[in-house]
Amino acid sequence: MYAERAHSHKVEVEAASHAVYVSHPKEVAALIEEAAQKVTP
Amino acid sequence: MKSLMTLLRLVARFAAAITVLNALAVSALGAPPVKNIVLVHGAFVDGSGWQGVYEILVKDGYQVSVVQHPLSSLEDDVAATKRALDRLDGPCILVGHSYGGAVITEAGIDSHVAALVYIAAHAPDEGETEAGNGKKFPNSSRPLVKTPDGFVFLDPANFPEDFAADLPPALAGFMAHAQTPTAAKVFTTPITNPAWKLKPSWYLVAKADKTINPDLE
Repeated sequence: MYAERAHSHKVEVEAASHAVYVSHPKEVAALIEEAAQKVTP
Repeated sequence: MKSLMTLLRLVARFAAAITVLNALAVSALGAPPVKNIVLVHGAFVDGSGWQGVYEILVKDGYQVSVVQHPLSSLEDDVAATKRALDRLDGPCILVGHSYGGAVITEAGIDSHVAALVYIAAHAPDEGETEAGNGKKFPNSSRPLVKTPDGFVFLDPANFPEDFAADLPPALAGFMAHAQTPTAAKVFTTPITNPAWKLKPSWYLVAKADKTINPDLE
């Protein structure tokens, strides 16, 4: 709901727990880097 | 004299054309990319859980700050985040996990913030609370333990399965016993100024999340 409502660029990580920021650092860092590269400051 | 005027007109046109070309080149290159990343942890944990993400971002050339906020009130946590933002020398991506999403939603109004990244995080609207949204989209965790002075945390016995089922048991066990009790009021404090309405955002949904219902994410 949150992602759709904010019109966020959304990715999903299958089988990831709430601790996804610890368990899937590559996917998390990739999304952050996408934001850094695509946004116009 | 006439030929001199013609020459001057040609020079003026040439100069104007160069100016236009320069402007086009600048707009094609765009503004310099964002190099600052600020990471905001969620409830019950501290910033050390970002270490894996931090190391990748630093290797890739980013300047990364990890906020250590006290989890004592939404106001305190937003203030701690703004303290980190105020030290930046340029624009940043502001990242929040879990309750950290509520913090970045409020702190993201800051002029340093170019975009928001939500990692299995709350992004409440104006007047909404995490607790209220959690009732509309119930999670599948067991109830929190409450302290007499208004703080909450996960029963360490439940933490690995309810919060960190995809982590090695030893790490989940350590996190379970190293929790930061969190003021219960942070989950019932309404958001006043949601930055996601004004700034672009990215969102990562954790599909097996038991703490925040993936449908709410």
